[in-house]
Amino acid sequence: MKRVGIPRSLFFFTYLPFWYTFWAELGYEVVVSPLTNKGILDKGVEEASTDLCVPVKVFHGHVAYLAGQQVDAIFLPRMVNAGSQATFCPKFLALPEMVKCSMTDLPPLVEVRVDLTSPWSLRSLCHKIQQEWAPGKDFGAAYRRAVLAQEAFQAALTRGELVGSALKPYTGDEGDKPKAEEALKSELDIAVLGYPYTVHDAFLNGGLLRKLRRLGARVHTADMVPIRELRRYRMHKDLFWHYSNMVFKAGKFWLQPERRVDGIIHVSTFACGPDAMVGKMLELEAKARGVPLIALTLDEQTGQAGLDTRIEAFVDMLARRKTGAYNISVHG
Amino acid sequence: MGGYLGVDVGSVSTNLVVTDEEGEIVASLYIRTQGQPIAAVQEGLAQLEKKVPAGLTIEGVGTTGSGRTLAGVVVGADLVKNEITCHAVAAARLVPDVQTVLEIGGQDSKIIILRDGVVTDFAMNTVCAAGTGSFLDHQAERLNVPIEEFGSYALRAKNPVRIAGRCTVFAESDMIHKQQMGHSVEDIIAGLCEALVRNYLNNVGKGKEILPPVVFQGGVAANVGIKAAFEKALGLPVYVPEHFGVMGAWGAALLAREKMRTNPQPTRFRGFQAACLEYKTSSFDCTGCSNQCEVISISMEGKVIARWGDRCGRWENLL
Repeated sequence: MKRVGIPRSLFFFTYLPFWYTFWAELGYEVVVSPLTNKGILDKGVEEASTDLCVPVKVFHGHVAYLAGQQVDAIFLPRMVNAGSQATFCPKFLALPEMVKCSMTDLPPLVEVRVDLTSPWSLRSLCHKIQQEWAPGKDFGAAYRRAVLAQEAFQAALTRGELVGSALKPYTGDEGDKPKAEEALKSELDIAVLGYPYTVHDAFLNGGLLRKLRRLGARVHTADMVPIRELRRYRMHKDLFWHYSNMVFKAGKFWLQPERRVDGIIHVSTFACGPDAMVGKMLELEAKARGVPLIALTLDEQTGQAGLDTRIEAFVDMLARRKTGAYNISVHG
Repeated sequence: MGGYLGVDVGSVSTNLVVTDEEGEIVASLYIRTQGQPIAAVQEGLAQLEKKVPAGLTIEGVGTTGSGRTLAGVVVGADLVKNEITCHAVAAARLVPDVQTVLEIGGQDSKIIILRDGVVTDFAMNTVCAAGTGSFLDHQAERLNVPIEEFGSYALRAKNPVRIAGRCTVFAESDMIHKQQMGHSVEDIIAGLCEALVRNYLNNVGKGKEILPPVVFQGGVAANVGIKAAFEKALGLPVYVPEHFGVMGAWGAALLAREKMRTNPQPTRFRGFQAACLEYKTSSFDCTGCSNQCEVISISMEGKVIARWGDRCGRWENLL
C-alpha cells in the first residue's frame, strides 16, 4: 500500500478531514505527523529561514519528520483561496518553494494549487490528483466521502467541539483536549482568537486551551463559528487574507450582545504581518463593546512563566469583574 | 495573635511581608534575589523572624512573583498568585479609590487599570526588559552614581537632555554621546528618567486611560526622578506608597488572609524554621517522548516534595 504524509501544521487544522478521507479513499495509507514536540520545533527552526513565523518553521519540522517515515509522497498544497476574495497569507502561497529551497532529500511532494474561486475548482483539482497519483481509482466516491467528512467535522466544531478532539478519528489523539476533571467548573466564557495553527497547536501556545479550562473558563474559538455566520459580518473593506478575515469576523461574532464573552485572548505569533492589522482591529472592537482583550505573542520560547502570568492575571481579572470579588483559585 | 505572610520572589529582589490579623504590615523585608531564589527566601525568613512581634503566629501564607511556585513549595504556601493580581489588591487596599497602578520592577513593568476597586485592564512589557529597574541599575553603575542617589541627581537637573528610550542599547549610546558633548551628569540622568517614562507610557501604557489617583510602586518607585518624570508627563500627582517595594508581597499576604478567612483551614506554612531546612533542586531531561521536557525536582531534607516542568504531568503527578 502506498503511503502519503500530511504535516500537522498550518492548513491541517482546518482541512485535514477532507484530505485524509480523499487520500484514504484513493487507496493510500495516510501518515499524519505527531503533535508538535520539541524535536519537531528544533528541526523546523534549523531547516527554515530565520525570518519566518514560528508556525511555518514548525511546518518544516513536520515535513522533516514525515520525510523519515518512508512515505511515497508528502501532501504539500499551495493554499491560495478558500472561495472568497481573500487569499491565504504569502507564506502559504510560497510554501512548496520554501520547503524545497531549504530542505533536501525529500520524498516526492504533491504540490497542487488549491484555488477555490470557482465552485467547481475543488472537484477538478481532486480529479487531477486522482489521475496523477491513483490512476484507475474511483474518483467520484472518494470526492463525495471527503466532502461528507469535512462537513461532519465542521458540524462538530459548530456544536462547540475543539478542533483537537474533532480530529481524533484521523489523528488518534485528543490534541489539546483537557482531561474530564479539568473541565468541571466553567464560569467564564473566553474567546481564544487566532489562526487555527497557533490556537490548536498545544506545544506552540504552551497548552493555552487546557490552562484556561483548568482555570475555570469555557473556551470559544474562531473555527466554531459557522461560515455562513461569518459572512454576515461586513467590514468597510475586507482584509486581504483569508484567515485574518475569519479571526476578525469571529471576534465580532463572539462580541454580539446575545453571546457576549467575558474576555478575548488574541493569540498571535512574532513577525506575523497580517496580525498587525487584526490585533489592532480586534482591540478597537473589544473596547467598543467593553470586553477586555489581551494579546499573546508566541515565538520559539519554551519558558512558560511570562505566558502563564498573563493568562492567570487575565482570568482573575475577568472573574473579579463578573463576581465583584476575587475568586481565588488555588492554581493561579 | 494571628498574622499572615506574603512572599514575592522577583528576578531582582525577594520581598517578604508579615501582616497582623487586620492585614496591616507589621514587618517587611526587601533583599536581593541574586539568582538564587531558594537561598533568598530562606535568608528572608531568617531575617524576618527577628522582626516579627512576639506572640504572632502565621495563619496563612501567599506567594507571588516569577518565582512564586518555587517559593510556595519552600515556605508551604496556602495560596500562589500571579503578581498582577497581588499588586492590584495591595494598591486598592491602600488607596481604595485608586484607578491606575504603575509598577516598575527589576525585569518587568506593568500598568493596572482599576475602576470601582476592580481590575478592568492591565498590560505588561513584552519580553524585552528595556526601561526597567535593571537598566537603571546598569546605567547608575556606569555613571558611578549610587542607585539610591540616582533620583536626586535627576531632580537637580536644569535642562534634561533628550535620550532615545525605545531600546536600551540605543539609549546607552545616546547617553554616551551626550556625555561626550559635555552635558552634565544631572541633565543626562534626568533625560534618562524622562526617556524611561516615555517608553513606559508608549509601550506598556499604550491606549490606557490613566485617571487619578495614580499609585506608583515596585522597586523603581524609590527613584524620585522617575516619579517626577511621571508627574510631568501625566500632569497628575503620583502617589508612592510607604511600602512601595513590597506591595506584591503585601498583596499576596492579603489574598492569603482573604482565603483563610472565607474558608478556615490549618495553614500549610512550614514555619520560620524552613530557613534551616536543606532544600535541593535537581533537573533532568525526561526521555519519555521527543519533547524532552526539562523536569525540575525539589527535595527537602532529602525527600522529593515537588516536581514540575513536564508538559504531560507524568512526573508532577508521581508525588
